Amino acid sequence: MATILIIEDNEKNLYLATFLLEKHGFFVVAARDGRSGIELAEKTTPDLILLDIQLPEMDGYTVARALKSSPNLAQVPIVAVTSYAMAGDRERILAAGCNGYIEKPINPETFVAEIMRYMGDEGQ
Amino acid sequence: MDRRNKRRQRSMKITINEIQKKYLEVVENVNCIVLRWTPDGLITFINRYGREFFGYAEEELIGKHVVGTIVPEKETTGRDLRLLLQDVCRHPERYEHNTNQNMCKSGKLVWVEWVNKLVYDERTKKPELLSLGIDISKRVQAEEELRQLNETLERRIAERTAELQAALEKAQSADRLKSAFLATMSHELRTPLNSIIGFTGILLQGLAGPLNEEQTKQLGMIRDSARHLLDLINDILDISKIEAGQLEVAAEAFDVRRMIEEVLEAVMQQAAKKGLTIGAAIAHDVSEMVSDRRRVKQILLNLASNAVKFTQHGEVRLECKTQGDTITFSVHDTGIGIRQDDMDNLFKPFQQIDTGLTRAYEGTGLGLSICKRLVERLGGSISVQSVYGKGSTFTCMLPVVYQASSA
Repeated sequence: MATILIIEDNEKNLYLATFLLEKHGFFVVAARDGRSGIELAEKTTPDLILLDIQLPEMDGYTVARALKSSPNLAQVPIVAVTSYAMAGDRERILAAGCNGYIEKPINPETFVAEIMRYMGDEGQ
Repeated sequence: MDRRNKRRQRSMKITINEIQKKYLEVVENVNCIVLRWTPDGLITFINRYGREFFGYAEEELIGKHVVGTIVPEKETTGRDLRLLLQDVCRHPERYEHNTNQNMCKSGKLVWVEWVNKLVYDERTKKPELLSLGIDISKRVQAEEELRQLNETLERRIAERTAELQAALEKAQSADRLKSAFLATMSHELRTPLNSIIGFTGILLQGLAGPLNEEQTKQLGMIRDSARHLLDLINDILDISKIEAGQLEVAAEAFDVRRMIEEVLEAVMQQAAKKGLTIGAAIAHDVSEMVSDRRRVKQILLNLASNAVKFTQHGEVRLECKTQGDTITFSVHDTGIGIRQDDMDNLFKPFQQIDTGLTRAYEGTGLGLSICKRLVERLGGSISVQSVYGKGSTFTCMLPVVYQASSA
């Protein structure tokens, strides 16, 4: 069973993504802020990290850079979840080391398929 | 001595006298100050012009020192003229031209430009200075006024520059504030919508358990309303981003046919519900274009869903062809059409035509104004032809290859 780490500060959106992924057979671990997200990533070495960009204190860009600079985690795909707010956000997301991004609000019908694109053969 | 010689001498004497008189007349009447003075500073000669200029009688000057009569001890600039004169006497060759302040009997200060030369008095065999002076007070005053004017101007320019700088900083900080506000709103509005749309979707998919028919129907309504709300938010954010100059566009190659298919798929259900025929006619030479896929699709989707929205019977048809560097998309419908009077307001924000009718058609009234701005941002143009009651054709022309620098 593939493990997905979700770093998301909003409780309801965290529950939503967790529910959807668990229903599709993933094992989900979750963190509510960047710092504990990085710690949890080091501990669990997930198959994919779902990263909210608009996080309090340490923003998603910083978290992505930290994750990619860790030797244990450099290969783990990161998918940013973002409100795709302003000009240049997409470039910044990719420049920070994310492998892709999903725009909020997520579409529950296509969400899981989109994520699996970034997991290669390891999915499920 | 014979008489002829005497006569000649007399005649020469007369001639010399006449010449002397003539020279004296010239010197006395010339329109400049002619001054002779000894290296000790004593005046030995000053012409009439000079006397009148300084306001002295001849006897008040001859034999007097220049300092205290026609030369003040100090200039208003602070320069010590006694020292200057000493230097002139010592090194007259350095002072062929010299400008300094002088003084009239009345106390009035004047500026005089002097030409100086060392000469030898034939009689005394002593050196003297021959100085010619021209009054340049008016010029100096004009120069001073000009200098002050320049200073005033420079000060004004500096003040104005500072004002502009302050205004610019204010505007920039307002811009930053606006951008930050947009980013925050975008995030804050989507976060709750994310869970509304997400959970509705989960429930409708039956992932949280089976639903009865009524529950499915009502959840479907929640989902549609939430999606509509999302459309509104997206439109408002789009127009705000455009207004704030925050809209950046990408230039990537993409498959035009595939994109048109996606647009058709998106409006298919709605068209089918109303019993409309929907289709596309794509010219055989249409393949790829280089532009912002997301935005081009947004434009077409907007035009296509408008066409479906405002058509009750008949068909909606998308056409696409290329001609040279231009790709043309048109969306035809057999809908309610647009009155000639309404054409001008069509592309303006918040101007959904015919407010009475608006009730029947959901929308922000922002769609077409966003389309127009997006098309223009992508280097193209948009136009409309319509017969009221018969239908409309929206035509959008874009460069096949969008060059970011040309925007």
